Amino acid sequence: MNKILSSFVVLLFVSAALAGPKGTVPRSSADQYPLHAQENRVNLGAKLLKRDEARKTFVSDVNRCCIVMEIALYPGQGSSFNVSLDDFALRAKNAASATKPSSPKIVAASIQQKAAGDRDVAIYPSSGVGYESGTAYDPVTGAPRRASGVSTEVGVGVAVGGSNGPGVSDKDRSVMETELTEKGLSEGATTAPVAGYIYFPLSPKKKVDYQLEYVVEGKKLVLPVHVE
Amino acid sequence: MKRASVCLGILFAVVTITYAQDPPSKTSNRPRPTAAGDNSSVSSSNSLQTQTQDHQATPAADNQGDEQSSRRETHVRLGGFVVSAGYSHFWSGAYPYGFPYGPFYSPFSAALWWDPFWGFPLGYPAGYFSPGDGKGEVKLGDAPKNASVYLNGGYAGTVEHLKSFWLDPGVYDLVLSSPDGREYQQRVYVLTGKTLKIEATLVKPTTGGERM
Repeated sequence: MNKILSSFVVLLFVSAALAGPKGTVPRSSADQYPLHAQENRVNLGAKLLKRDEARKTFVSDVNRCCIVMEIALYPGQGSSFNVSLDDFALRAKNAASATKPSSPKIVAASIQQKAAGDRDVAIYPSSGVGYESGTAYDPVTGAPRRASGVSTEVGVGVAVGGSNGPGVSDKDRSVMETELTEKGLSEGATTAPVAGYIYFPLSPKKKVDYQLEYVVEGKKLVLPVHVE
Repeated sequence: MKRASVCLGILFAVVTITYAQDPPSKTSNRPRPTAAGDNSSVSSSNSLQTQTQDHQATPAADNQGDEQSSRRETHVRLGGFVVSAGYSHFWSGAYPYGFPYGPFYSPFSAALWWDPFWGFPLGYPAGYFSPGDGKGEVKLGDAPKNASVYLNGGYAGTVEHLKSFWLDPGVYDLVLSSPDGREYQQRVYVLTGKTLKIEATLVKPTTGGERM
């Protein structure tokens, strides 16, 4: 009975996992990508998404937190292999440490946190011109006399508040997580080409020469990546 | 002694629907558009046809974000009506089985009922697509005015009336369908305060084509 129940639960999870679209459509071959490398059992194609490309591809503002790369993996004839995000790393040239890709959940939370940290600052300039006329009394003689004058005033009002922009609410975070998951590289065993995006928690604003590393069956494939 | 009664009644069925901020997304089986060619690096859902831009948040709306994110809206609408008529008769004499006729015993009865949603996809209530705090905007471009717009399988209207519409944050399956059979499908991610511009090019769906 327990076996039946556990099988049913597993089936439910599998169904849920397969419910939505996953990843992108792989190109016809790995060499169709700007960056590509080959190993005995797998071909790797990769493309760095520039900031404007990332902005058009994702509704989520991934430029806030991440360098996005599109990855395509092509298994050799009749072979299968396991796709895991842990096998990828992005290393600054000649650096000792490398950065692993983040899960969509972490990326969405990071975007939300950065969006919530934004401040909206509104500046209201104001100016005024006035004219007054009336009776004034001479302080020495006490004699009344007509007086008039023009007054001007200039001011600036500043309002500072928390951001109400995209990605702040928990609902937005959930939507971003869904988008990043659905467009992300799917993990698991595969015998067919797979493609999708992976997200490295590095600033895309800095111009740095990186190298993308992919470890497959103990061998490391290295591709140079230049962030402009 | 025989008594009879005649009754007529009209019953209006009022349907109350509570929409959360995130209408449940239904996975559609319609094929995705084939605008992305074989050499395209992205799937149709990721096709570079969408552009987003942020709205400028006003200071006055600063404190409304969290409230709006958890707000629920309730819409009440007339779901249909039932017209019924009946004729009942009661026999005051002893019933051979030891109990009288029940009050619902009726030799005649008739009913006419109408449900506007029966057999049709559930539509969206008035005002559902209107602007509001906590919503995101979707703009449709390059689509025929007479094309039908479906969201998560439900009919939403025509492109002519939905050139620009607003949705609560969520993931939606958007389908445009023109009378000549051309279609466009896009998975849409709506975020608060963001405008999503969709340049929809409708194509003939391929039979047995790619399904995602």
